[in-house]
Amino acid sequence: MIPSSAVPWTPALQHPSLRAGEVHVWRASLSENDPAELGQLLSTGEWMRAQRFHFARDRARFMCGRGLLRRILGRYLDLDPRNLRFAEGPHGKPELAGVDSSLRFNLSHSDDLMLLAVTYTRAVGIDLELMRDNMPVETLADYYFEPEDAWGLRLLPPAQRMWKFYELWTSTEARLKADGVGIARGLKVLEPNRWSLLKLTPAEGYAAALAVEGEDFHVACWSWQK
Amino acid sequence: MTPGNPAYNIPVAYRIRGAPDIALLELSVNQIVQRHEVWRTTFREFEGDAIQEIHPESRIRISTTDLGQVPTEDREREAERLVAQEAIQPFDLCQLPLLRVSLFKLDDHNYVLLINFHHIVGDGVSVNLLFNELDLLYRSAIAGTTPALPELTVQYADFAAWQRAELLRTRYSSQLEYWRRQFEKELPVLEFATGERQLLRQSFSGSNVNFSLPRPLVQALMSLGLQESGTLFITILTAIQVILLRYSMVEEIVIGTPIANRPLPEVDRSIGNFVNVVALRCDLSGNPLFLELLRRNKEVALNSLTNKDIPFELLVENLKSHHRPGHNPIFQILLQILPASHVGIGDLSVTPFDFELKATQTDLALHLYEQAGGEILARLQYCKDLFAAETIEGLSRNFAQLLEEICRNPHQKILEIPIPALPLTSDGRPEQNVVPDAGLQAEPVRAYEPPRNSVQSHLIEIWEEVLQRKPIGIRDDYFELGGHSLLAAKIVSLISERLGYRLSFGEFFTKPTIENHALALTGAKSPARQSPSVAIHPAGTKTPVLFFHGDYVGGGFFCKTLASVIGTDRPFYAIHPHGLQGDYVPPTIEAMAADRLKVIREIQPRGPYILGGYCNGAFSAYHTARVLRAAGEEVTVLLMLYADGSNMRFRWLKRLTGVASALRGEDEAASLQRFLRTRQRLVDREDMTRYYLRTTADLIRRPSWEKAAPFLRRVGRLFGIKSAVSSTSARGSVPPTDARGAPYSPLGKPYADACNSFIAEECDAPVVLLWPREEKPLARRGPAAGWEKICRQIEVVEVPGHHHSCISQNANVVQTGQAMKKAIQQAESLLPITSS
Repeated sequence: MIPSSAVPWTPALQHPSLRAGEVHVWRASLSENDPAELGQLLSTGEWMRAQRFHFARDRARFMCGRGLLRRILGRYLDLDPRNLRFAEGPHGKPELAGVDSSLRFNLSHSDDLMLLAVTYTRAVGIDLELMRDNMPVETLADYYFEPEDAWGLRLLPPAQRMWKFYELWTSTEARLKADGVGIARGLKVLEPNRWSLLKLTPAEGYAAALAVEGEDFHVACWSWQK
Repeated sequence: MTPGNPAYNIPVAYRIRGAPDIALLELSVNQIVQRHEVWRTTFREFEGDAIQEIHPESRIRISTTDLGQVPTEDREREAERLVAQEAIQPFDLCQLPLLRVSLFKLDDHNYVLLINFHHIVGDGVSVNLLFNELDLLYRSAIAGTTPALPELTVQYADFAAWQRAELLRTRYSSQLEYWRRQFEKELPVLEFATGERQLLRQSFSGSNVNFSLPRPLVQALMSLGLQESGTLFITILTAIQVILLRYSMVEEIVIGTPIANRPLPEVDRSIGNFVNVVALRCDLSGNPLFLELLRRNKEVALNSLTNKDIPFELLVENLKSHHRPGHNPIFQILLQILPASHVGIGDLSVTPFDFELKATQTDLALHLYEQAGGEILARLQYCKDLFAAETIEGLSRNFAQLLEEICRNPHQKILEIPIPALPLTSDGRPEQNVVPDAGLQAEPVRAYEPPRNSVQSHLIEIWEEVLQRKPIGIRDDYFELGGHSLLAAKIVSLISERLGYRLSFGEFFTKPTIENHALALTGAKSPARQSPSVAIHPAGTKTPVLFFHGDYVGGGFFCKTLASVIGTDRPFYAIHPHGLQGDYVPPTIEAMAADRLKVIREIQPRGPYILGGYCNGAFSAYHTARVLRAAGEEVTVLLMLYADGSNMRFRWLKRLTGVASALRGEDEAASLQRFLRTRQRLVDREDMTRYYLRTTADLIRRPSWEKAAPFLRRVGRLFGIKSAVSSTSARGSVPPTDARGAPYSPLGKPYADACNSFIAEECDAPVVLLWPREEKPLARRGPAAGWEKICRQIEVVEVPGHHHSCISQNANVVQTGQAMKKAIQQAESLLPITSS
């Protein structure tokens, strides 16, 4: 059983400071923010990537997501958001580069919402999915999950299967993202004991999971205010 | 320059936060005026010449306006209004001052400073110089120290005289010649297709629209320019031309640009009007690529710069014949880019203050101001009597959009760069070159690449279904289409379900395009390493099915379904047709079958054999069955899916042409071609005869002149050589097409020829013909499509679909598989029990 977070989403009126042993999770709307304004913060590379999106809505969401990432991280680091530089880890996980800081982060977005997890030193991963009822959850579970999880899903009454599927999916993704590996190698979590998992409910109809290295940490959830 | 015309004012406004010492500010301004003679100069006309008079002194007073009486919430607007008003107050060139400084106080720490002068005494660079000196002088005044201003060796008047002499002596005539040639042809007048008003007299009444270009866009534009060894200016120039082209459809546009013409280092610090306006005339014809147009502009700019010394006024005089009343001479559009200048006055915080420019020299002027943070502030000035504000606002939005488009893809033709709806003509009709309104869900703009084979088609169907986006091309990137990992999982599972192949996530994400996925699925690597057959559940214990799938376009994925329906306890070997993996295609069915026999023998050295095939593969399977029977092997059953046996009616023709070729000494290939040509004529005639018979019967039943007339014409040609009915289908082998009508495979013709030249001989193996029921009734050819003439045992089973959907629609394949399974079981139950 993955524990559910009872932490409320507090509107961040002032920028909160991050202490050791804390994990901050930010939630922000990708449609209520202005892509033109946030787009100003992007690097040339990010901006060019934004232009490659076929559809305007995806482009706008990408620009807002990256812009907010820069803005929020900029506040923690006390740096101009435009000056932040990012690099990719060995399997493509985005990381901060050229900064003398042990700040680690992970980003996930689905449809109109985004989640950003930030902490010091520990590896962290987060996954967010808008739950859709047209997902063939039994087939996908059979295909991707461990046999006992897939079987367990089928044993549930049909109305609960979607929830269970998304719980399994987001918790797997969160750990794979925390590890920096992602799903390119498949959905097997190699070191399940390394991670602590927490289920989050950032908005109605969304499933989310947070994976943090180790134990003994405190989670604070923040809602981004413009 | 029309004397006194405020369109030639250069007003510059800044907001000051802090409390300026107005007395010291005024002192500093006057020190500058004292230093630079040009600001103590007046101009008089005397006998056709402009006479300059330098006055020994000029006292400038800063006019101060206190807005304290204005309600707080209105002060900004009032300040803006006053600034805009003062900006267009004319100067009298015969009298001093030709420089005015105004200060508007909004509150104790909020001021607006306006510096205004006539163009005749200064240019854009002069503004920067002015502020540099002002800063230095003000600081010194506050600190009570002596200012350390660099010495001015050359005053403007001296330089002007020198320049005139130089021109006369050296480059005057050759430069004038260049310009004359440039503007030899009739100058195009820019008219917007929006049907804006025509002017008889030039109007200087103007307004402006402001917008900004974000830093990442500016950097992208700069790197685009760098790639082409051009500058930001050239890139913007090109973009302006494109946007104006789309609004007006002229083939040439002339754009004027001020050039800070300070050829001597001595005049670097001199205030004065050194600027010369250069007219850049560019040819936009031929719908070139954006980059091509950029290069054309580079060329024009380079040549213009070489000839920049002729004062613009001189040019106007010499090209008087081209001048059109109602517009600025020679060019109607102005473009300038001004570099970032840090303006500071002592410790006061100074930032640009925006106001409406109510006068304009040209129809349109785009001023770009580079900012310290990397973005660019743009001001698009326009003539109010020519353009509506909405038109210009739309233009500025479209321009910004265009800039983003060209950064995204500079390899587009200028007429095809997509931008949202362009203006309508005055009677409300959209212009021909209007790109349909893109709206929020923009159409994908890169070249759409349609699928080239049925695997790609299947994948596209799946992606479009899962991503809910249409249309998707084979080179579109998954993530750029808005895809993410969970949907990828769904796609992969659908691929497995429908195509029977499992794509790994690694394969999916390495190069996430349909083209690459299709390659991964069909395992298209070097043909030498390819196996000509695919074993599907080879671990089964029953007699294998050896199936010539014949699908040289799609790769035969339907075999996975067939195999699965027939049963996993029976191995299924899908045998590839030649050419699918890039290997050589033998010219006849017999040769193809002979080549594949090696593979058959390797898979299964001894009978009894279960053979099958689709289309051309069915022919190969038939021939293989014959060969194996002749070698004494047992054939349990031969399953032929969509095989037309009616070609056997040309057996006599094959023999005949064989004899004719032998007499002529022709080789096998030539003989084959001879046979095929004659066969085609006969087939056409058969089709024609059928058509005539049918139409005659029809006309007898229901006479009609519309039908009779063309028919009678055709009857006259009945015995002609040309066929009135086109006949492209080769009975027995229709090249597979996919639902989108993708081009036929290059293997189409060799396979059509091979099938058309295949004349089957007798065979005693039990045959089951699986006929797609939507195909033309086989009854025309015989109860078993002609096979009954040469097969001792033949049974016909109907299966759903037509010649292609019988293998491309999964539901149809399932039913066909069931029919095959039944046929196999029946055939096996009849076999004598042998010790295996």
